[in-house]
Amino acid sequence: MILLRVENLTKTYPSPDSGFGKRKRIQAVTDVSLTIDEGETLGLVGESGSGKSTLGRIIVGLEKPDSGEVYFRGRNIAEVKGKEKIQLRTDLQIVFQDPWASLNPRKRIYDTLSAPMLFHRFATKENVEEKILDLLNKVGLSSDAAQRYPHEFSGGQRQRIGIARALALQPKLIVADEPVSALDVSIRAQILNLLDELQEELNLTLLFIAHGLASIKYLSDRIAVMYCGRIVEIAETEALFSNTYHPYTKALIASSPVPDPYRIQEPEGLLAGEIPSNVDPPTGCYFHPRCSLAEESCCEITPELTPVPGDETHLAACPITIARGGS
Amino acid sequence: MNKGGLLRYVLKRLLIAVPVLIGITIIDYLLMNLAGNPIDMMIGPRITEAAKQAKMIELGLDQPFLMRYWLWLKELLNGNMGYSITTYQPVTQMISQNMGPTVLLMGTSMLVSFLVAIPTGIYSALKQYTVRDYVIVGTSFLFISIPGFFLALVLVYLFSTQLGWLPSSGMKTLGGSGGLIDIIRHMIMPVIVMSASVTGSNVRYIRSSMLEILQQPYLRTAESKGIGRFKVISKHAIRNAMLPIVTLIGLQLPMLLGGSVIIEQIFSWPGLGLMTMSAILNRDFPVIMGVSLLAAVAVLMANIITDILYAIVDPTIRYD
Amino acid sequence: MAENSYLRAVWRRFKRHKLAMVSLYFVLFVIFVSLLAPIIAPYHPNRITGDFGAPPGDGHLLGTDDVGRDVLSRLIYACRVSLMVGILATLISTVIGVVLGLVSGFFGKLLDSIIMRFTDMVMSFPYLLLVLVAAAIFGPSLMNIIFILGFVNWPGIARLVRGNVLSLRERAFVQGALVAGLPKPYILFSEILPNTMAPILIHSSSVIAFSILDEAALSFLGMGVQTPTASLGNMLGAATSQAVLTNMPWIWVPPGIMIVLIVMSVNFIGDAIRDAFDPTNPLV
Repeated sequence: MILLRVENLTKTYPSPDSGFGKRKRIQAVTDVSLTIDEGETLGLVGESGSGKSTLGRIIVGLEKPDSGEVYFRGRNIAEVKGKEKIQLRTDLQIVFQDPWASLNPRKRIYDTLSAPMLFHRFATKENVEEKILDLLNKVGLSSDAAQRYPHEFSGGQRQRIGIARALALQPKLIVADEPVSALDVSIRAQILNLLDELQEELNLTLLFIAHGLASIKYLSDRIAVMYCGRIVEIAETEALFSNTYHPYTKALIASSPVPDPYRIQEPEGLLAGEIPSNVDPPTGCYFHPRCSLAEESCCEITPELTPVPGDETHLAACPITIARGGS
Repeated sequence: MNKGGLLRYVLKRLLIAVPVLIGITIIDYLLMNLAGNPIDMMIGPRITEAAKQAKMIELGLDQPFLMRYWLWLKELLNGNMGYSITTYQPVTQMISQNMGPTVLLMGTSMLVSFLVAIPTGIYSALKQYTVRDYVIVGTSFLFISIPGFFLALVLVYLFSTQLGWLPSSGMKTLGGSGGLIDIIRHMIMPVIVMSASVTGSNVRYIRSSMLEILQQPYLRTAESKGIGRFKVISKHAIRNAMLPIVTLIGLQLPMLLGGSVIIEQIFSWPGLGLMTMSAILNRDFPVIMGVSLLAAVAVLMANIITDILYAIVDPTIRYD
Repeated sequence: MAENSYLRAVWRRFKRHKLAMVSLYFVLFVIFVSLLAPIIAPYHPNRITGDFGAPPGDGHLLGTDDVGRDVLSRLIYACRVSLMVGILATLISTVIGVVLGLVSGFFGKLLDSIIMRFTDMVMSFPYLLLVLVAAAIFGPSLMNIIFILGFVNWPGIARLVRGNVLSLRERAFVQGALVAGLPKPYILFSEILPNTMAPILIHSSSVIAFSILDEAALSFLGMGVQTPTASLGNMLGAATSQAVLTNMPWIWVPPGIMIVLIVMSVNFIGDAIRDAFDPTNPLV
């Protein structure tokens, strides 16, 4: 069952750097559509500036799109009012990237966790403490964590608290915005495993945003690849890696570090050039200036996401490779 | 340099200033109304009651507030600030007559203040943790904390009454031939008092700005490149430390204006401050409001210029 | 618990500033004496108890003023008045400034613009002039002075708080609270405000210093606290007369020194507070 549907979402910001004259805008997210099924984990990957964080923030309600709609359980979240709106708040939660900034330094963990639960009546003054201890246990922290302050915890522990905070309202969908990027590599696996377990145990739906393919691959059922504000490829994890279509995805996969000192990095796999500016993206396919397969049509027509031959669920925005049946 | 960005910033800044300007005039007019009937202040002396009534109707004082405000504003833009209740002179004339000495005093004070504060602040920062540094910091603190009028009293007591070195009031010696030296002698104490607290805070500001810069890694890089320490300091450090000075000037203008009221009173310095003070004591509202308006506008201008200067010097803030 | 250890760490850093500690003791001493004024002062401050203009001598430790009242008693009561004005005025302006700053920074857009432009307007008027004019209009009295000073000082705090709120607003924990659907007023007062306490405290200390100085200036000019009530300012006002200035320094020098000491102490304390909250500050 489809839990979340995003249709033609576009979001721009005013650009701070503009000459005298028309104000330019940053195209953060352009015409993005996707769906997430209940219980699945959709991985969203892209480099900085690809718009993935913005997309996550729009879904969770922190930003309003310029155009396009977000449907949660069939309801357009922009049109929801009153009690339904409050209910929506509890259904969509977010885990932030920076464990140091995501907790109020002046509040004890108990207060941070209890406030939303009490406000939404998920707990009463009598049983809130019990529920908090339950939450802390779920994320792998001991009960005495409740009385402490954020600065007494390590980065990994704080992230666990952040996850606990997101879970407190028993959400249906959690947007995890680069939850492990700021953590030491050794801790990352623990947090990823935690998210994996929690998802199974609570039947959570996860939008997992990251810029590195390694963590995404581990956790996701499907993966969407974003470039410069657009989705360029979306497919089931297995299919994305074994049957890659879009040249950008290919380059991304090729540039992921592999812990094998004997493997020689193939030079053609590597990308040349830089990520284009979000203010003035290239015409046609945004990727064409860096693409080795680019043809005339690529700088004129912006490609749409189309299913690849033989797999309805695998979409790519590259007519060249689709026509060729591979890359 | 992004000329477009600078121009845009200037325009934006001026645009924001307009409602503030209007607001200032509104506040001014409001206060005036609280104080008394604006017509009395506008018309001038020697008018019969009947004529006053007629004038009131003519000027539309039986009309709602906004109308009256508009009329007052029109008069204002024509250069009519009303007439003084005590001297019967037009306010604009009184202001222009008394402005000179005040500007002289304020200008000299600011100049002295910076001439003293800049080297002192830099020196103090360079010699951090030494006794001299502590002495300088302590003295600055002292100057910030002394009320101007107390300092004035002490100075007058010491130098005029007891020692008789300096004249204690006025701008020129009565009956004397005047001349530059005479004026300077009269100016010494008022300038010291006026610049004291401002110098104190300038020293602290420059010192901390300098300290912050001295800690920057890029200085050490410059030094390690072989540039001599003195050159490093004078070229790189000082230039960056000077940036906040621009804002300091803007910030201190209101303080100096306010201070001039007290100081001119004590030293009988014939400037705007003295005029304002006697206007206040006599409840001469047209004069008071005229000066207040002028002062507010001057401060606003100073702030705008400061902002613009800052934008020129520091390109990063234009992208606001 | 750990909140205490944060405050305790701040206090420990504060204690290292010897000068500030001395100042703190001094201020506490003055407050203590002021509170006990009726008990400690040797005479009633407004009653004539001796010859006028008598130098320090028997019965009057600091002599008598030009009317014959005991200078020491007046000094004690004057401290009381000046401190009261300083603290109350600061309280008023802090409350107004904090509320406006919070609202302006958090809700942004039109409300922010309006409040900020209003702040600009008030800030444009030279401070002392505004106070003097207001005193002239509303009449000088103790209560009026407190309110006037309170209403004139809020722009600085409002600007400061607004700046802090603007940056705090983007922090993840505030965004998390928003996503959790917590009501905005709650977020404002429970999440944001506690995190700006330090700058507010620091700024307040300098506002107290300014308020005391301003009250003194006003009273000196005759526009503040009126005689016979003693304030540090109007005691100094006696020195405008040549006779007092030259021949009776015991009348005007003690209140002057008192002001300097109190204000310096408050400044030292404020500086030390700033350092205590921010250990990375290069200022000594």
